[in-house]
Amino acid sequence: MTDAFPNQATKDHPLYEALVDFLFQLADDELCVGHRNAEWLGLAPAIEEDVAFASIAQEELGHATHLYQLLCSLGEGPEDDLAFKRPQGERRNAIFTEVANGDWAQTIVRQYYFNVFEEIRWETLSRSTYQPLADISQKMMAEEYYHVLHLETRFRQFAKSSGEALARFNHALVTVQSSLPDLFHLGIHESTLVESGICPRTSAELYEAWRERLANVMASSAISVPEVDVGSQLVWNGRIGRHTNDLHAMLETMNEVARLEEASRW
Amino acid sequence: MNSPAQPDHDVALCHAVWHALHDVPDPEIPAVSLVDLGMLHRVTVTAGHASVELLPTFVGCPALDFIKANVTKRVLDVEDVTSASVTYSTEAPWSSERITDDGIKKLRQYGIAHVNAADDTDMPACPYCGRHDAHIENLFGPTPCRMVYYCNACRQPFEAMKRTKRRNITHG
Repeated sequence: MTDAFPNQATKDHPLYEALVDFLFQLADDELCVGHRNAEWLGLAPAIEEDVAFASIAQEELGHATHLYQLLCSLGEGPEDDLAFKRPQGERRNAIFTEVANGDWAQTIVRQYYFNVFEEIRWETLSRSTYQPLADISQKMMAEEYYHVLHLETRFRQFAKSSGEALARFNHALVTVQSSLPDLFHLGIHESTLVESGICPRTSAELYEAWRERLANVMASSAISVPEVDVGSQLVWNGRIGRHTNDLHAMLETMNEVARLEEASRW
Repeated sequence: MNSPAQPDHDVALCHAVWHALHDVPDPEIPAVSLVDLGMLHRVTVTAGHASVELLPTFVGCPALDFIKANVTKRVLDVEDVTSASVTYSTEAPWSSERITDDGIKKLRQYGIAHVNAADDTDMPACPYCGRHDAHIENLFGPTPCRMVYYCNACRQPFEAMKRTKRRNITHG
């Protein structure tokens, strides 16, 4: 591990490019998940879920804002521009976070998997040599705790269900798994990120930690933890900007109003 | 009070600013002040310039900008303060343990229970009947920092401040 990364990094710092790429991975994940969760507003199958998904969406968007502000302080531009105006190819969120919600079962499975991953990622970043990430990690984990608790309860209920619910759940386990791999990827700067301690776990180690945590939950059921070959080459990989049409559609919707009158103030 | 030992640090004015912030209510729970909630992290005053550091309860709390504006306004009203800067700090995470005893009492009177952050199994006392016999109705509530319980004794739903202490999640 090299020396601690300076908080006020400049563009000529040898780690700058890797750091910024990684911060975009974090911020873009949060933005996409926040947007997807918000899509259930008014449509969730129960009033409690409406409140829960609206709250989770608000918190994930708040996390995104915090991370874009961090990027802004490094000189990457105004936070709203970073969130809304970057072209698709520059986005670093995982495909896993951009895929359209699908039905309720797919949403619960995907959001549960994602939030467990986020918890592990923040836990990892509590040891980051980049102090602003280490500082905020504890706060993020305290908030993620409630997301995981809620989604795990729904996940368990689905696993114990029957009839149509169980059929949809089993279908969801298969479809959601197919978009999992790039979630664990750290992009083209992985070795730099790990060696510098900005992200003190490799993609394989992040996956292992995630797998282990899920294994405890699934031990009591017939469900097996998704096997992911983290080292495989992916056709679609959000961490290097290769996104699906789902992201394109999402960005179109997200920016629709802002594009009408670009100079207007909110 | 958390203030760095600077020779030109104006201790008296710093106390005045701290005291004044008792007047700034939380915009979503007006019964308590920011000081009651433990959101005030550090105040320094040097040559009439007050610098206030706040701790956000939740990173994505939508009231943060509003709170910041209210704090700035109140600080500038303090006599001898000529300028003010208000920022949010991530140096120390806010947790529900930071709520003062006075704050807990005011929250209860307002109908919001407080769960002892140090004890994971603790069930909050119903703010209406005082009994510890409730179940969780929803982990999420009207604001990010609140959740909803249902009192089995007096059959009344009530809100509680979320415990935001860091903990290990146990599964299984």
